[in-house]
Amino acid sequence: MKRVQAVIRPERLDAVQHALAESGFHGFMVHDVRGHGSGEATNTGEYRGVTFAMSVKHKLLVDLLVEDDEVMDVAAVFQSTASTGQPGDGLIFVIDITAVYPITVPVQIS
Amino acid sequence: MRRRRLLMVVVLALGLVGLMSSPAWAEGDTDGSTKGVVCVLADDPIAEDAATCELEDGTTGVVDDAATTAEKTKISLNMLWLVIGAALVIFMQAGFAMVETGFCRAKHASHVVMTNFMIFGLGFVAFFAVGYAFMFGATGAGAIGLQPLGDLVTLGGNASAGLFAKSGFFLSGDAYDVSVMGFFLYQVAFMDTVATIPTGSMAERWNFKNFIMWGLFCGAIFYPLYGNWVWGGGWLSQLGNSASLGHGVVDFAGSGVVHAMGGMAALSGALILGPRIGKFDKDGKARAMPGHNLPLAFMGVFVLLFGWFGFNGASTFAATDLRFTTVVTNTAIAGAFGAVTAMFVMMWKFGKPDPSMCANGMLAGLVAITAPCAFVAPWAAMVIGIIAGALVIAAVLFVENRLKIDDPVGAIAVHGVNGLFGVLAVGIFADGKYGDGWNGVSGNVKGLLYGDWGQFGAQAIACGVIMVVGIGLSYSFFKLTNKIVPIRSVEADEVSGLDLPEMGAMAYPDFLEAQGTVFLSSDDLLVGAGVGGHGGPGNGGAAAKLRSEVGA
Repeated sequence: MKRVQAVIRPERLDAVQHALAESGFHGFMVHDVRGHGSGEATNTGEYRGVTFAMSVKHKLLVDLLVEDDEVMDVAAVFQSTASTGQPGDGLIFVIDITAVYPITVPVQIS
Repeated sequence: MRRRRLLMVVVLALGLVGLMSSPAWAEGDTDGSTKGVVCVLADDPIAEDAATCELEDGTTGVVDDAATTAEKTKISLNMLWLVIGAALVIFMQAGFAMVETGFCRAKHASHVVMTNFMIFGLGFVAFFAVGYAFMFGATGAGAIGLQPLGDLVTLGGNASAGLFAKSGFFLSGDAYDVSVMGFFLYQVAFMDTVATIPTGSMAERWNFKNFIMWGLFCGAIFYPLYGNWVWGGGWLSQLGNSASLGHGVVDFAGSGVVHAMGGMAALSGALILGPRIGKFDKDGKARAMPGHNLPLAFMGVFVLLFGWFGFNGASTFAATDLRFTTVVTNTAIAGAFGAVTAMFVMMWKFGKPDPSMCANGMLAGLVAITAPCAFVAPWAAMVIGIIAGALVIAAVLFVENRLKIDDPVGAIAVHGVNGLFGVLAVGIFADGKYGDGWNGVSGNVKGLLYGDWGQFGAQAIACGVIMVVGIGLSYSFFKLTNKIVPIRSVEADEVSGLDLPEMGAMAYPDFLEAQGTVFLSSDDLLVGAGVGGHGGPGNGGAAAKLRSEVGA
């Protein structure tokens, strides 16, 4: 079992979610994160006459558990729906999971 | 470059000062000393210690002290009511700001609230400079019954039946008068209400620089033009005299002059802008884009209700005209029935009351009662509120699903549709208990239920004129200014939120985590709150992609 974590642009969530569902992945978590992609442009804010740089941006971390042989399918979904071809599109992490316990059923499922 | 600009400003300012201080312009009553002075025939010979004054026929009379004191007290009372009314209506700007910001998404919040805030100043500047003169420069005492304010608001003579008046620029000359000052403050508040209506229907995608031009145009021309025709003694107000249509166009506090005209501008603006990115899916089906703060929006609705008592109530221009209690109570009745009707209609059609639609229902009732509030009985106010509460829902759904126009806050349905309904309602429900001498026509105002089809005819003409002039003028204005500064914000900015790219400041810079809850909703497009990318290389692609997917 693998944990796939993808950092995406917030405005891509809807497309990602629909594509995941179409591919049969219905459960997932979304974390609200901030960060800065390498090569991504920096925003400029202005407050009471002071201009300041805001390089840290709002991103979403979509997080789901899949079987080992499904990892590439999920990665492909992210690559096709969350990509704009520009710096700052995000990254996909794949992490090994040793055990998963559901809250409601007191048995180990994998 | 900067120096040349400075020079231009200095020259303009000097020219203005020269214009203002021109000795040829007589001033009005700047301290109120001549208001309410009652002049009576003098004994012969006139007593030595008596204060003399000029009678209407030019002969010398004496001041009746007791009557003068009573008259001055009356005028003061009326003026106080008017200024309280002005303050209440100006506070409605806060209501609009809260409603519109609450109904919009967090990523645009500082942009939406800024349009609602700056419109006050922008409209004010233009109305002070020229708008007021265009609208009321020819106001005669007969036009809308200004006698209670001291009978001196007679700039430029009597009602002109024309298209545009032209005196009192920068409140100079005759307009520098205590009565006019109070009247101006009240009127400028109404103008700002019109100006702020389109900021709702055009929210979340209106380029701020283009918006600035609208503020000035609305205060200078858009509002004063039709306003002059109905309230400034212009041709629509004279239809009673010139075409025997009841009392001419009667619009007590501005269902037409203010709300419907604002609604027409909201319609043309939203039409030209097109829907927000993602509002309609590939098949053209509308998607929900929930506002980010309903409690804020409801606070705004209550502020509007509160302000409406000044909007309608003080439109008597007189606290001594006790009809104002009928006016404020009718206003509350229509608002309450509007909200309740909207709630039940939504529960019946969709199963749940739908908070934002209930808010629109109350506002629709208030808009619709604005023209007839002084002329109708409480039962009619109730009927008007019920119709408005249902009409607004039909209109919101029609605008969104049939016309495919994206109106984030329902401004077109609330102000445009119900404004027109309010104008017609005068011609239907007016019960002949009030309005003697309105627009210089004797007798009370009656609607068709009480036998005066002519009045209904005048109101119908007003609706036609509002639609033609309101849409025509605003549509051409937005089309024209689109050539100077694009009316639509940059796509990438719209996707990431207009706060940072257009305003330079986010409404909620520290609250990104707090907004995380909404990200789990299936409507992604309400996310992106906070720090999205500015038009850097990143988001152009995102916007284009989003567009191609949702087909908007």
